[in-house]
Amino acid sequence: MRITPLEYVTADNLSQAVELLDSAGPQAAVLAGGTDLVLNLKKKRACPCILVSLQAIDGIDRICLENGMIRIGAMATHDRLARHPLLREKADILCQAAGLIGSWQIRNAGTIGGNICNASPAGDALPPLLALDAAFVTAGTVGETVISARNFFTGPGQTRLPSGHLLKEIRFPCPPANAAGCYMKLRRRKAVDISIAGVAFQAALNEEGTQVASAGIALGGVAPTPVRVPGAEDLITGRSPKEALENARAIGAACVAAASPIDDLRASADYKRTIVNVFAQRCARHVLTTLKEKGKPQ
Amino acid sequence: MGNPAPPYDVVGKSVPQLAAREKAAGLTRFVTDLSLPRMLHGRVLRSPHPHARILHIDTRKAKALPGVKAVATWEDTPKIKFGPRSEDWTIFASDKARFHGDEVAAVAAVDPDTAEEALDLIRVDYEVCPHVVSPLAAIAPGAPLVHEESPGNVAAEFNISAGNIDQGFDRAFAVYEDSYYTSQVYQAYMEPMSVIAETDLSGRLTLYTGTQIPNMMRMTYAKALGIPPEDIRIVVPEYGGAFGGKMENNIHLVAAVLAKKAGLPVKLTYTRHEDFLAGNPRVPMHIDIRLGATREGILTAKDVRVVGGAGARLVYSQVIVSTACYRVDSLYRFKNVRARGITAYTNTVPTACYRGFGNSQSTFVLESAMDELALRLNMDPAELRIKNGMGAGETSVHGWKIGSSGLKECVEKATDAIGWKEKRKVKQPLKGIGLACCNHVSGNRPFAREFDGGSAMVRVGKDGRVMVFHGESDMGQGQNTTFAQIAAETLGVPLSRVHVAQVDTDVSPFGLGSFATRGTLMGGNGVMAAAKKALAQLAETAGNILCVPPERITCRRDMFYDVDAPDKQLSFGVVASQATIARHGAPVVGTGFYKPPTELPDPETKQGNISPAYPFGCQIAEVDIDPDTGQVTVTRMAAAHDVGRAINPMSVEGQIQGGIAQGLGWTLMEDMHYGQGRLLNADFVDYIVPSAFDMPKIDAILVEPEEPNGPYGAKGIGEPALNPTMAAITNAIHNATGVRITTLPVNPAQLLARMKAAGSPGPELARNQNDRQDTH
Repeated sequence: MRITPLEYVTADNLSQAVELLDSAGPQAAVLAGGTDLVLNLKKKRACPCILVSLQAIDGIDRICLENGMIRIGAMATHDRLARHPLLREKADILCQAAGLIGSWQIRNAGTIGGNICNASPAGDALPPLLALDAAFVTAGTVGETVISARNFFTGPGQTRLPSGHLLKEIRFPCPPANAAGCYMKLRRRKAVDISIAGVAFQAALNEEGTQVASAGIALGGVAPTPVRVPGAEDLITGRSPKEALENARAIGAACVAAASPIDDLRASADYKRTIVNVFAQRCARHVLTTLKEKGKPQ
Repeated sequence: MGNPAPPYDVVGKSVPQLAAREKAAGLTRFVTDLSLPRMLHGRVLRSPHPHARILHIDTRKAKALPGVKAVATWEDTPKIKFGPRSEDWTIFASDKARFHGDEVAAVAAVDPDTAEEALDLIRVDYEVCPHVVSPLAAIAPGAPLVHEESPGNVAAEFNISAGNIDQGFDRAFAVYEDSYYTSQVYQAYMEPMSVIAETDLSGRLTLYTGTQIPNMMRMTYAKALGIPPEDIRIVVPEYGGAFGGKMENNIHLVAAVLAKKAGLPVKLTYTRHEDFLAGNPRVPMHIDIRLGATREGILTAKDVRVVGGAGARLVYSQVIVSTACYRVDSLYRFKNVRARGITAYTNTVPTACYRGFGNSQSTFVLESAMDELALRLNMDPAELRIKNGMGAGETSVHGWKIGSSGLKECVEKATDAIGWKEKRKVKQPLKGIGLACCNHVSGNRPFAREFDGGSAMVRVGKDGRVMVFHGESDMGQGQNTTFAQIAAETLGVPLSRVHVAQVDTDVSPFGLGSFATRGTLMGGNGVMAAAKKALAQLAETAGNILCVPPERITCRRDMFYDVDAPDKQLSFGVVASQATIARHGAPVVGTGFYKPPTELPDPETKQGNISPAYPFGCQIAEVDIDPDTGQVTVTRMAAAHDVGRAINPMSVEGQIQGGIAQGLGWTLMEDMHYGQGRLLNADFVDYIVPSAFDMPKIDAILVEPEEPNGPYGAKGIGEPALNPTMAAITNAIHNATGVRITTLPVNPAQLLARMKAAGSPGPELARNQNDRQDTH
């Protein structure tokens, strides 16, 4: 229960934080919301020598739309994401997912950056970010790198975050007005539960409103990392919402094929596959029906 | 609502609990908030193995750690075998650890972190032994023995029969038979177990702890520590819930051993993880039932076999198994019953009391079976219950005398409130409605053999302040408020005058405690008797002042007056002051007790009358089933409970809501999972209890027949509030899907598979389901 004594630094700005991380190397840990880290410190699953807090850095929790890109500062809390008017309008799928994370207390403290860097296979924000074609901007002493969400995760708790780098920002192309998204997760009760299996489904029509121009479908909790399902996306793009809807069962099957769940205490692998199938179809019906409405001539 | 209330001023009124303001403001000092000067902090080293021989314990490094004041193992204890109802406990594992979490050693240090650190420095050499977790596996031939001296792992057996079971089944037109299992579930009280122990220079031990049975616990601990009971004082501060779970537990004795060794007060508070590992959860049970009825729906026979898992030592599981064998027999007019109960040792945490005490397990089974019979008889399940339900003035198959019974009225009111007939008639796909009844006790004659009643002291000070002393236990359920209402009504004063003292075995009466839904009736009658005694003394003073014989004096709304000349008045405050002056400072103290008209069951026939009153209830659940995921949502419940007169209706409704929450959790979520003999979900991440969003709208309906033996006509509600919930929900699931749930909790994957096998509506209907989940 006692946290092993360590050096604690509150960074004033991003470059100071990055320099501290660079000089401390793997001995350093980054404190964002702390909802996972503090528990890990107490249970000695993490024993860093230096803890760099990002909590005093101005501006890295900004959420804005610039040049067609939605930009979310890594320190934005789940609760802000869930309620943010811009996101509610443009990328509601992320609001849905953020709003289902943990409890009020966790959502007030936990950050999207933490959720990403913690890289839990069950992380709620991750499948929507994959579905939205998000990219992660990381900052190091010699500059920034941009890594796409679909390439970022390599295993449970494992990412391609370059050593000495910080996750600074999440950005993704702002979905057009005729887009829709849906996130569904299997949980054992209606609030405060870990996602056992999650499906994120985002799609947009072309300008004419006749065909699905783009689709992003991603799964959480059913593989070592969140996974995109291009096989399911291909069943939708280039088709009218009505045609795509007819593929609902095939979409479910493609998602099941992309999942590699394990048996655990929370559910059997079989049941997780069943859920992926059901939720993929439900998401498809919800999103494509919404698109059908949006595509109708006004 | 029941009979029109007599003109009471305080009883029957909904009032917030006395402690509500402090609790809401965060000012209440729970056990975990308490601190004594120079107090040390204890931590317990627990067995990581479900079953292992302890070869050697090396505590040298732990003792050498700066800040550590005491390290204790079995060697530091009096080495006495003891137990509340057995002799299979030791303070710390002696030769063997028998469950994952068994106490092996403990440390007291200047702060919790140092104590924790010291635990890591204790080396224990184990030789791992084969283990057994399932109660059925435990009694199978060749199973590893939990205690060598108990062959076959049979810790206790119980047999009961009445009437002629074979003739009963011969007369049956319909017979239902099946095997059920109910899971091991955790009480999930808000405050984990906690205690401060200190020993004075004479060796006298004081425990500050949240306990349901301060006086009885003292007896058990006296034996364990090899000291007389009078050398143990137990003080019960406010504490955060118990639901049956806070009775005897090694936590108190470990703290006592540490405190004695260190010569300083020691606080020991379980982490939530430890509370899962070493608390005392519900007894898991396998129950086989055979139930028969005539063509007309008259029950003819019931045959039951119960196998309960005790865990590694007996707390109260054997009494709980025997309760599961027969308590439910007094719900209906049974004539021929038989039950055999086996309590099996297993390598799990010792199991014990949890709201319902075995009756919840058997109510789930019986009430499932009743629906199956109704199906076979083509009869409305509500009608089958009413037809067989025990009524006022009847005597049950085991000799229980039912003074008042609102069972029929409970069924009628619950069915009316929820629109039962209409909803059973017009069946909607994937929606179901189910009903279950229950009976219970308000006290349990054989539980503590010496007596079963209640008592209190009521002290009226010179300042007119009324203090009620009782030896029961308010664990948050509102008992103190109920007692204060009874005292206020009896004395004729406003509730604001009355206060309730913290239970302290040095001061309080010898109450048996809070269990068996006995607090309101037994404790309440004790308070009423004591208040009457105090009132009589005050009436004498008032009579002297008013020059009226005391028999003509009464008090109402804070004024003493002559019943024959009501304008001859004196305020309660003046009388209290004058009474104390007349006695040269001695306060007015009324001491009273209640001796219930119960009969200890005959050891052979088990005939007797174990409680002065029997509450009844009927709950109805409505469910929605997700046809693609198998997930169950309880959308509404109606819960009608015969509580006699509700002393505090708001509090009774709270009990009903809470009982349903726990019953719903058990039905749909809760199970302690073991893997390799280890408890896998010893935390709230994976031990799921319902959230507010999982709770349906509940119509709590109070049915209030005047109970002749109850204080102001009241009986208990604590346990009945939970008992019918499980079967109400699973009967609703059956109504929706045709699937009979025989294992708690419901597993959505299995329900889905069984729905598909039974040809229930498939995924096609999914289109109508809500696509979006709620974002909170």
